[in-house]
Amino acid sequence: MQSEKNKATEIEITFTLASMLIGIGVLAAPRLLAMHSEGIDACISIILAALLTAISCWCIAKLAARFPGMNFYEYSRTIVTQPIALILVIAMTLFMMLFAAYEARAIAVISRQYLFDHTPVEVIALTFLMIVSYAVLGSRIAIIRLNLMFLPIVVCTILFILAFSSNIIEINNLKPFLVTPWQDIMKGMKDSLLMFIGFSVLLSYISLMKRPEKAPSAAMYGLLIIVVLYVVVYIVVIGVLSNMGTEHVLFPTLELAKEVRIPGDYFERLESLFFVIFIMTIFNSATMAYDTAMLSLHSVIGKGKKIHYVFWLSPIIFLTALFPQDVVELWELGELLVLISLFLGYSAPVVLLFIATVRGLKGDVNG
Amino acid sequence: MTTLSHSEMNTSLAENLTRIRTTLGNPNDLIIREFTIRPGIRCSLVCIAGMIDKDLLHRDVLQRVMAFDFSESEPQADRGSVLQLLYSDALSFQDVRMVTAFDPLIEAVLSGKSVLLIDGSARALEFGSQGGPSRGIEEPQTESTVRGPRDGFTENILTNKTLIRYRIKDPKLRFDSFDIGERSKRQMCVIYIEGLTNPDLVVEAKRRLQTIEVDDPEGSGSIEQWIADEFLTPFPLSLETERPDKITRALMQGQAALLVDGTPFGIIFPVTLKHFIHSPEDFYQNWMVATLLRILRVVAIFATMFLPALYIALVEYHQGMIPSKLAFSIAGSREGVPFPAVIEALLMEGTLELLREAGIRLPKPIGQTIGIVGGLVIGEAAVSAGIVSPVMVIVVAITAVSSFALPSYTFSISIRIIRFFVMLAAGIFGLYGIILAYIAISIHIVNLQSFGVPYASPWVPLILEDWKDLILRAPVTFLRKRPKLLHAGDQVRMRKK
Repeated sequence: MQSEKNKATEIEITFTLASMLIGIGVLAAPRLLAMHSEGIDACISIILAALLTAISCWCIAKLAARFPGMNFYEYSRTIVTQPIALILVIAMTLFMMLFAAYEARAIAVISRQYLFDHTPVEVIALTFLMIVSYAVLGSRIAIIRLNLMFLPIVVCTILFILAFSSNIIEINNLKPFLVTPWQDIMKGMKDSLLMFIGFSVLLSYISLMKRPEKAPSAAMYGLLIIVVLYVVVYIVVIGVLSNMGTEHVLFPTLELAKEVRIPGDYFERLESLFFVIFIMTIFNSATMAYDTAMLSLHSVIGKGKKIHYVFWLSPIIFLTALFPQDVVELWELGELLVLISLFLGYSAPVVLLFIATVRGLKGDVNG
Repeated sequence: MTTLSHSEMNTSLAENLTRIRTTLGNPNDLIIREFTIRPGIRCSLVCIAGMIDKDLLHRDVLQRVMAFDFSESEPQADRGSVLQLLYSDALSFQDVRMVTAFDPLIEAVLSGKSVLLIDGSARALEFGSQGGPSRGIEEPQTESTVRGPRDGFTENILTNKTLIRYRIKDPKLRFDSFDIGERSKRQMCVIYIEGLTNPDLVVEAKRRLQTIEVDDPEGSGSIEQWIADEFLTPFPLSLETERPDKITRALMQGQAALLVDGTPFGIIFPVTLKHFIHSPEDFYQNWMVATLLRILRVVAIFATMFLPALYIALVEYHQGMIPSKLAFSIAGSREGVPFPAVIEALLMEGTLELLREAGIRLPKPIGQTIGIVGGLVIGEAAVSAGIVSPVMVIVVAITAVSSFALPSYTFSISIRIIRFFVMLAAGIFGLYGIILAYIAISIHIVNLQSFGVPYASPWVPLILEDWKDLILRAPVTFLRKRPKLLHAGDQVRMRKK
């Protein structure tokens, strides 16, 4: 009964994926998308990117369902020999650490812009990472459950902002339709991938599921929520700020919150409040990335306590977070993440599942 | 001398009595009443003065035994069967038991029972004649309700058990008693309903209780800490209560309870966060009223934890977020206040805690005065001296009132402790600090368990069915099932007829 209680349910996996994806990407990506497209054509890019993500998520879920009770390293070792599996897992560890660092740094950058001007970036990132480390030190099921706790708050806040900005949308900003050349749509698709990186954490969380065979549908629901949310957010952002305006602000989604006026003026500077609440979901993403990195590393090394891993990994992540000198370099880091993700997140699961199917490999149910 | 022979009784009455005297150090409240019944059999009644019910013992034991003529009823019988005869023919006392060993005999005497020894027999009769000082049933001091029953537990475990039995007449109601404490030997009992309470829970509770190795467990509060899942937490992992109706309800929901002799507080376990916003009164009222009151309590929790911190963050870091008119009046009232808001807040909240603590320690009539005089005078003087701003006093007052609105005293203390950390976080990082504090608290809560039940359920893990009785208190006719999170053996509360 004890073990049964500490298993993840389908809804928890749905929330995990959704919570992982909502992060820095949704704050920053509309700017990149608006650069290459007219009107709200970039929605097509978002949906295409989502489809691509859906394929990979499905493959990950299928892989996990095919090898129940085995972690990423164990089944990739079965599928593509030890050395390649080792490379994959180490790459995954580094990728996830880089991702956590990226989130921490982005938090620091945005905090300085929207919350306080004087506090040093290092201190903001450090405190954030300390809280993340605290979460990682707890149980893994708790990390999943935190998603369930925070995501509804964040989604409600986003919906709240969207609802109150509906009366300041300029319909003219949304036009014209379908005039962007397909090359730009593809370019936009690459940029929208920034909003989807990190879905690879599914690799480590599906194995916690009570019924892994339900993982594909659970993941698809999570993705569906996200795509709808992204598309609506993008349309509203463009509708309020216009295409030109969106291109010229760093975080269009936050600027959207700035435009919102609540009747009665009970609150002012809603964007600060919005961002503060948004920290919760960024925290979730960073925590899961960190946890996945730790788990991957643990699957290779095969021993050691959590506290030891945190002791070594946290400083590395912190120093990596300090590496970008300015916002431009931070965006470059984001692009790098997308690039790695294309290989590691998108291609690897598809290839692995393909090989596994061709070779007819299946996990031992009892193992 | 082996331990076995050590605990065996002697056939000689004189030797037995001497041994009792030496073991107990011959105290002057040890009563040994020696008398003879016909035909010349010497007996002794042993008990401790003050711990027994004198009248009962006199009427049902002494009188009867002394008047009994052994030679008449069965002249041939030997000494050994005297006790048996007394038991079946003479005594009108209900609670009589046979003791054969010396240690239980001493224990019986010490716990207020009386013992009848007979010369020539290595056995004795034990009477449950406990009397002694005990308080009457009064209204619970710490948890008053408007419409609830007025009886509260007392220090006597027998009375407390009765109060529960009186409410649940289920033959499956179980009181598994055992003694705890190397020296104090306090009686303690685990209460559950067989077939309803999850059996794993009862087994686990008993296992944990067995691990207690202490001379005296000092009441239920200390036992609560012995059996808690985790000690690195400010949150209570079980619920203490003085109210029998609260325990009754908990039992019916699939929880188990614990009573300890010598304390009016029972313990209910396992608990989750929701139990701290529920009051027994919720079920004595209309469901709408109850639901609104629960919402009020949730607001109170958040106000206690975050209100002073929010004030600090807004005033110190994010003045822009306050609506401009309010911002001006706050700025105006803070004119001349020499400290930053965080110092101001810590000062006032600290004073408030001091007043609260002083109010508890002082005799009751003065205790209330100190609240009013201290609170009003210090608040007023601090404002007019320009040390704190009036808005701060309002914030502190709301926080204080909110913290007292919670049904559980222990829980409200934990919330108040956390409040200080959130205030510090807000003082250092403003809103960012508050949200990090909130995240940290959430991490902690999600990792907590009470007897294996996740502390934050049924929020996480999500059990939607249990939301009927969470913040919402659905109309009673809708609450057909017990909460799922406790894995009760019998899920259905109401069966359709």
